[in-house]
Formats: sequence, structure tokens, C-alpha cells
Amino acid sequence: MNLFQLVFKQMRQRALSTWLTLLSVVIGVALAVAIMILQRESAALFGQSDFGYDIIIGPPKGSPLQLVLNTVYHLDTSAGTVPYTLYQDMARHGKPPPGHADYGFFVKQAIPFMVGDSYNGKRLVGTSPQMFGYDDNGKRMETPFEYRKGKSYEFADGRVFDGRKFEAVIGSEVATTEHMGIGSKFRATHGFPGPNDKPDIHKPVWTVVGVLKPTHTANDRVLFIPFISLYAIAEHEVGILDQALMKMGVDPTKIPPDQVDAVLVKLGFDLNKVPASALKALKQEAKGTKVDTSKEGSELIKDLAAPPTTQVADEGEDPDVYHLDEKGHIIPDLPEEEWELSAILVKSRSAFGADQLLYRFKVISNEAIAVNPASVMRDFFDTFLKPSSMILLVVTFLVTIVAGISILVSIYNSISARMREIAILRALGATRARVLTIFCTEAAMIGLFGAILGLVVGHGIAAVGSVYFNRTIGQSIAWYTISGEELLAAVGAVAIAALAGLVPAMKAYRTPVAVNLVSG
Amino acid sequence: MAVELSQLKKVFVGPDGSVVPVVDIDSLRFNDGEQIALIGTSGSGKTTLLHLIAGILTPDSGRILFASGGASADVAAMTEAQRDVFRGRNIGYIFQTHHLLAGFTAMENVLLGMSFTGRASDRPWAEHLLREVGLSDRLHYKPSKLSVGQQQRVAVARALASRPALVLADEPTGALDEKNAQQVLELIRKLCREVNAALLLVTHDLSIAKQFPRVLTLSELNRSAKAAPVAAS
Repeated sequence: MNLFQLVFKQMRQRALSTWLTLLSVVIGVALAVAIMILQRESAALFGQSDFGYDIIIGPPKGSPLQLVLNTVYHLDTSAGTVPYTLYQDMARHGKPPPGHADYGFFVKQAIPFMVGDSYNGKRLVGTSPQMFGYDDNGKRMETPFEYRKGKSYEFADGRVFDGRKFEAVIGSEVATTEHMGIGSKFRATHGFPGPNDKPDIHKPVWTVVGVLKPTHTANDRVLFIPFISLYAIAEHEVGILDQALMKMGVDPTKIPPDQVDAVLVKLGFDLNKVPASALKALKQEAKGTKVDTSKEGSELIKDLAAPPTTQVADEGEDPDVYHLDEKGHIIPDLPEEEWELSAILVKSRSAFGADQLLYRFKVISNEAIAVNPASVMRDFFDTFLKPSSMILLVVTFLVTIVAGISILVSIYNSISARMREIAILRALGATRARVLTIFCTEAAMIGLFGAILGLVVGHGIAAVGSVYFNRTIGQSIAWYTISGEELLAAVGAVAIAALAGLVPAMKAYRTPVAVNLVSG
Repeated sequence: MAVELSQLKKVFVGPDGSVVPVVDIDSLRFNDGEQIALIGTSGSGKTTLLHLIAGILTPDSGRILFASGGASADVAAMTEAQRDVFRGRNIGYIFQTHHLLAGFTAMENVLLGMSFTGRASDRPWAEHLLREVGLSDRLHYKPSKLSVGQQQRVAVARALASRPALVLADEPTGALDEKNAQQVLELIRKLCREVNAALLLVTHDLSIAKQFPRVLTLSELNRSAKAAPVAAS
């Protein structure tokens, strides 16, 4: 009977105590491992610096974090819009027209980004074919847009959408969970209605023409459509007009129906360019509102400047606010100068160019904000996630110490009850060192099995965390990767267990044989 | 292997500080394979003497020589670790109560007797011993499932497992009824003969002692026999 057989026999003899002690070690190691994985992966996830673009241009309202969460992780809502003309200026190659900034020196690529609608809870993102590495004519670009450094979108099936048609490209997860593929058709829902909300489903129908390969990012859960097709939605047209009025400090719901034209003219709108459908909807919004119309324009506008009221639900079918040209391309009724976007993803030409853009939108222009997503996420991680995960690690360390003490108490108590057994072993020829080894080995074995099981359980917890991340932000984590730190923690647990076993082992070591043989 | 004790002395210090000699033997020798009964009253130092010979206790003075061929080893002069190893290899010990490990089967308890010899476990030998003590159908029974007599038989088999040169038996039949006691005694003597082990059996039962070719009385051996008996024995 060798040492390990002897140790296993003793452990089995005290099965309940052994299992409970083992459980405490497993919990300690599993917690430590799970926290290490989640800390490591959340750092990689939220503190990532390998974005394929280095600047996000967004609305001046809202925070940089909100902008990044909204555009990169498809979390949170958009804080507003930026003018489409800003995107045009950034995407332009060549001399800008008078009155427009020249971004050509700083910007290498600019990708439009517009959100606000959904399909079955999945986000719709309005963008251009450039997002997928194709120009407006459907030709592959020499330098495709990268969502991560060195990683651009690839198609598992189909092709990129036509930037002016009701076509869509869907993420891999959308294809799987919604059972969609090439030829699938869908209608967009306004916003993200809650479970008890009546969904407001828009009239246009998009057809899926492309399915992306998995990117293992939140983009896998997105349906991409041409951003121009979003202007073909009546409510969006009205919404953009409403936003323009709100920016001017005018609550559109307070404009009396018979004063809408006058107010718009007073504010500088060209009534010929405002779509009739938008004007009609604007007048319906204010139906029933009584305002003293005898006042002059400026006074009237002053009275109208108030917080917006809840929007009246549109119970009817949307009117068409676009038409198709001979090629079947969407021509929105809303004039191009009224178009707006949620954000612009920018790949700068150089670090200098990126700095210049950041500076420009921080100091010179207030029409938008520019953020570096890597910097924002690093700040977010350092400010919110890192300290909390450090606290968790400390707690885990304490749990492991408690597990070690548990081993100590368990074996110590067992030794008190096994003094006679130890004396018998000694009488049979076991040396003190052998007895010490037996008990230390028993503790180390509990530590070893606890560490192995703890590693497995810890990764299991991280796998659950991965599923959670995937459900909430559409990104999985590498829960299966074992790091050197984890192995170190496991070895540490075995060492703590062996040390914990040393105290009771010393008691066994000192057991006087003759006394315990006689007393037994 | 012959065993020779000379000038062996062990004293205990009482709670009041008084020195009580327990073992004080001038000279004692038993030969290879010899079977000896040692009788003595309760508390006369019989167990202490066995512990001294086994190296569980150390004498205050004297020598305990184990001689084989031209070589000899003095247990009294060994370090504790050396004594432990020596005991595991050369001495089998049978206690008054079986002192089996409760979590181990009969077979495992016997194998445990070989675990500290530095030699590989000999399962056929263990099976043979258990068969000899009449427990071939109880190999995988734990002590709690065996009768007191059967438990003591396992203890006998365990003591012989390492094929020792000397078997020390401390009142091995003390807890058994007359019939079982006789059977166990015969088993011990038979197995000792089988492995040519010397046997020193301590008893206070004269009927048992009379069955041995050589009977020693501790009071006669002890130079301090007239000293007051101690309770610790």
C-alpha cells in the first residue's frame, strides 16, 4: 500500500468532511479563476484598442461613453444627430465647396452610421456599402473599412446592398436566431418597443441580399441597411424636422396648426423643400393646442420654446415619403440638406490627423463631438471595471484563505480523532516524517483536486458570463483560454492547502506513540 | 535473529517527582525462532518492556541487541527514525485490542503491515495469512463487520505480514473468550514458526504461559522488582 493509496483511503474514510473541504477549495479557486477571466476578457472587450477606426463623430449632446457604447457595442440610445453635410465634408475627396471645411488632410475614410429602428429586438443600422469595403457602384475598395485592426467584414453569403435600395446585409447571429437568409424580407419597427408597447412598424420592406461571416462582435446582431432608406420612412422625415425645431428651442407640439407655415418661414425654412407629409404630420402633432396667434412671429416662437411633450401615437399607415427613379433607387422627399446621421466612423490618415479632428470638435466646432473609442473605453474600464474587479479579486483571495483555513480545521479535527490511528501507523513502522508526509499529502490532494475542479467550474462560470455578454452586447469572451495567472492561482491553492495541512500534520508528527497505543 | 537485552533500565518520574524504576533487567536473551511467555502482574512493566524492545520507547540505559549472522544492531542506540524503520522491517506487534484501522478492510489492514518495510506489498502472502487465520472469506470485510475474535485474527495476520524476526504480543488473548483465546494463541505460535520468528508473548494468564517452552516472570527479571508497581504500564 503506497502513500497515495493510504491517503485516498483516509480521505474516503472521512468522505463528508473531505467533500466539504474540497467544496470550499473549489469555490475559492472557481471564484478566483472566474474573476480573473472576466477581468481579463472585460479588459479586452471594453478596454480594447484595436478598433479599425480611430475617431467617432457624434452629436454634441450625450457623453463620449454613450457615443461609443451606441456605435461600437450597439448599447444605449443615440443622443441625437449630426448633419449629413458633415459626413459629406469628411467623405469628400477634393476641394470643398465654399463655406465647407476641408477634412481631406485628416480623414482617410468616413462611414455614415444611423440608428433608431429595430427588427425583432435586433438593431437596424443605416450605413453605406463602404462599411463592407465596397464603393457606391458595388466595386471592391482597395482599402476596405476595418471594424477591428486588420479585420474587415466578409460575406458568408450574398453581396453588399445597393446603397439606394431597400436591401439589407445581416449579421451572422441575426441569420441564425431570426432564421433569415438571402431573399428574406422584413419591416422595421420604430425604436425598441418594450414588451407591453404596441410596436410601430414602418411601411417599407427590405430584402436581405447578404449575410456576413461572424465577427464575434456586437455587429453580428445587427441588420445593416442603406442609410438613405431610413429617410424613406415618414416618421423619420417628421422626426428630423422636429429635431431641427427642437435645436432652435421650439417645441413642435406647441405650434398651432394654422401657424406652422409662418413659424417655419420665420425660422428660415424653405417651405418648398419641406416634404408635404412632414408639414402635414407637424400640423397633426399640434392639433387641439390653443395658442394666442395674435402675437408676432418672434414672440410666438418665444412662447413655443418649451420642453417637448409626449409624442402622439400614430395609429395609421405611414404615407410614402419617397419615390423611386428609373433604376429603382430611393429618392427621399426630404431634401439632402435636411438629412442627419447618428454618427460618423472615421479612419484618420495619421495620429496627427486624429488629434486634429479631436481638437477641432473640442475647441473650434460645436456641431458635433469627436472621440477616440479606444481612449474612451480605456477610461471606462480604468474608472468603473478595474477597481470593482480588484475588489472582487481581494474577496476571492480571502475566500481562498478561508478555504485554506477550512482544510486546516478539517484535518486538525480529524487528527484529534485519529491519534490512535497515527500511533498504530507509527507502531507498524511509519516514521514521524512519513506521518507528516501523509497528512500534508492529504491536504495537498484536497488542494490539487479543488484547484482542478475550481479551474473547471471557474471556466464554467466564465462561459455563463460569456453567454450573458453575448446576449447583452453581442460579444462573446474567450472563456476557454487558460492564462498563466490562473495556473498560478491553482498552484497557489495547492500550496496554501499543503501549508494548511502542515499545522495538523505537525500535531500528528508529535503524537506520542506509546501513550496513544495504551489509551486506545 | 537473536535478541539480547543487557543492563536495560527505564524509569518513570511520578507526578510527585519521585523516580519509579519500571524496567531494570540485567540480562535477557532469546534465540532465533524461540517462543517465550512473559508473565507479570498488572502494572509490573510488561508493556513498557515490549515498547522498549520495539523501539517505541527508549531506555534510560542499557542495550537491546538484535543479532543475525555476524551483524548486530542496538535498537537503544538508534535514532527515532531508524527505530521506526527497524521496527517496520523486523518486529511484528500484536496489541491486547486489535488496533485495526476502521476504514480499511481485513486485507488492507494486513497489507498496511507491509507498507513500512521498504519492500513491495506481497498480496499472495497477505491472502495466505488471512487464510491461515480462517478469514479467507472475509478478506474485504471492514473491522466493524468482524467479530472480536476475527478482528484479533486479522491483527495476528498483520503482525506477521512483514515476515518479522520477532513478534511481540501484548496480552493478545486478553479480550477474547477462552475458546477464541486458545485458537488465536495457536495461530500466533503456528505462524511464528512458519516465518521462523521469535515470539515474546506477555500474559497474566498462567494457563496460557504454561503452553510455552520458556516462561519468564518479570518480577524475577527485574532487579527492581521490589519497587512499587506503576500505573502507567
